[in-house]
Amino acid sequence: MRAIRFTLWAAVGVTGAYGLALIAFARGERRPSVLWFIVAALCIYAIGYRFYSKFIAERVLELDDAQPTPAVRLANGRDYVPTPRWITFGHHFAAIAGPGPLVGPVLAAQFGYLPSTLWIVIGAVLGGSVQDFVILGYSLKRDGRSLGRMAREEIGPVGGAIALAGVMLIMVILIAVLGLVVVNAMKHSVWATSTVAATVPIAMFVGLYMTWLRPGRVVEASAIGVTLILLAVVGGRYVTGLGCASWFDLDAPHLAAWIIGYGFLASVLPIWLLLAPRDYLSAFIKIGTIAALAGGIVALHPPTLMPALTRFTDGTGPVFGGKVFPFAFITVACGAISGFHALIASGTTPKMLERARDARMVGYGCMLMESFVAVMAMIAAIMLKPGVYFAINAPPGVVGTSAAACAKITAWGFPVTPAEMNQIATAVGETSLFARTGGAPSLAVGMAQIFAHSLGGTAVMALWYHFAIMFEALFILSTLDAGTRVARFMLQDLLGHFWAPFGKFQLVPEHSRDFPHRGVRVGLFSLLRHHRSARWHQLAMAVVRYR
Amino acid sequence: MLATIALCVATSAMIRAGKARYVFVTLLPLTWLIAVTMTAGIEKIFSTAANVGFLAHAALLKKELAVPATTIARASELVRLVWNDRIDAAMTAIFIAVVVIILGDSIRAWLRLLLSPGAGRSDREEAAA
Repeated sequence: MRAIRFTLWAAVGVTGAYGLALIAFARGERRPSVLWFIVAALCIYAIGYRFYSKFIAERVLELDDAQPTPAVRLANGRDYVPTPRWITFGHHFAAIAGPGPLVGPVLAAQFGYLPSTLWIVIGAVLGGSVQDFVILGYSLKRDGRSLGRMAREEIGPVGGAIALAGVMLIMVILIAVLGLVVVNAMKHSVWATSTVAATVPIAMFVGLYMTWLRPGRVVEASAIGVTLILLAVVGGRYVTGLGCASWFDLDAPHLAAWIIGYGFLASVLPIWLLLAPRDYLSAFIKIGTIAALAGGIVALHPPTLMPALTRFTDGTGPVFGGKVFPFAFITVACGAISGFHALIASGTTPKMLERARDARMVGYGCMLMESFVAVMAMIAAIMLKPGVYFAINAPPGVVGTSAAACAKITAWGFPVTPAEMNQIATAVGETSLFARTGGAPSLAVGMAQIFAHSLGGTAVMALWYHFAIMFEALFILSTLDAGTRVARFMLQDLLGHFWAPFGKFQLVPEHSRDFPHRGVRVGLFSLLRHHRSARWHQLAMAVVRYR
Repeated sequence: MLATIALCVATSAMIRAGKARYVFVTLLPLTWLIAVTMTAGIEKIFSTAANVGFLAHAALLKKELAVPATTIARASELVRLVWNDRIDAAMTAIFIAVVVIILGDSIRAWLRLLLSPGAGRSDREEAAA
């Protein structure tokens, strides 16, 4: 038995190493099939999970199921709720997976596929997953404390204060960048905007349904929500022909205003009304879409069209400037390692884990899952024709527009014609795809190609393109509002840190701001208490509380 | 940068828990991250290539501003862009400073913990022990 297991793991290791070597050393026209990216990534994840995370769990963190977790020890039905591990996994994944793994690898593809692939796979196994896991582990041992408090306790008051201030600053920038990506993907796109707009009332309906109409029927509500969202995707296509089309044909500043408005509403409205149901819906759609994408890639196994390394490794890249080191690693960062995760791993998740050893699956496993999402996004970029990829992603300030852009990109050695670009734009139902920067549109084109070729041909490509845009916006918006929430918590933490002597001044506004939320929570929990038997309700309570 | 803070915290916690021999688990990604973020930060500020360095980009725009043929609309836009570049450069400098301070403070904490075992134990841990 031991021998069989050994042989099996050795085979997985050899396959992973072979796949990675194939990807790393293939040059010129003989490029590895995209299947190898998936196989190599999965094998390396398996090895990392089986051996490295076990080592960390047993030797470094010494996780012990006999020791009750904070969720069990401090269970109060509100902050600390023991939750089954798969549900915690879902929560953690929904919270950490933002635009980083989707957009980062697409942008970094300007350097070729090699740097990002190595970084996504190796970085996740040795860096990102380790970070998420150890922070989760240590937070578990410290009653689920936050990163800010741990920084103060472990490093010292100076480091702690600076850490909090820095984290706060970076959150502001992060949220701004998230907003920018969403705006770039949706501007002047009636279909995408109307579909995304529709998710808000759908989420609110699901929230009302779960809370007032049929309390606790989460599965039922989710099924209705997912069906409605799919209808919105299909229906969005016909909005263009209606009189209200102009409502959704927005330019960037207006769209930005709407998104800011949404962010404000999402943090002001009661949590169960908008945020919690959106979390459910996006978690279903996130995992479902990624699984379908993997299936599509396996079925289609498209050729890799992007070279391993492009000439832009020298820092003259049109998508963004800078040499491959360090900028490829900065751009992909979220698919390989992300400090944002540490905020979640020391925020909501440690207060939900039922057993200490589940931290391995949730902390280490979720990051591997996210890294896999990043690999998928990269595949979607490198199977596009490089000329098309650059035409979509290069800003007009660098290459000019339409014909001029095509000529310039072709001169770089990545042939593309205006006719080709128009054909793709028509196929996906857009007027133009030139200079749709930000990464999201080209990812949508790539995903649409994978789906359309594996399911239903080019006739449905437009549908898949808009599904992909909607998918990205949903993916990003749920991180945007979660981020806003975390930022609010941190602001309070920060003010308390600096103005501790002014405690009284600080406490009054904090309480008055919390008051309506708290009232709603108490009401909701007394409602849910009647249906406490099923695990789903525990999850509902946990999500409502934390988001 | 966030990840740097997280890894510093984790390393401290690890040393505190008496696991100093396993610090490579977090020091390995931490070293790589510091190398990447510091290089990127310094390049973004000081690189002479206008598509990378914020200050180089600002200088390029100022040159355009100095050309008499520049229209008023373009000039006001240029002033705005130069301002943007300077803000970006300042923000990057702040982040670099944050990372350096946290790293320095962490190393101080690690050395203190390593050199005098037991000295760094917090009250809470004493109570737990």
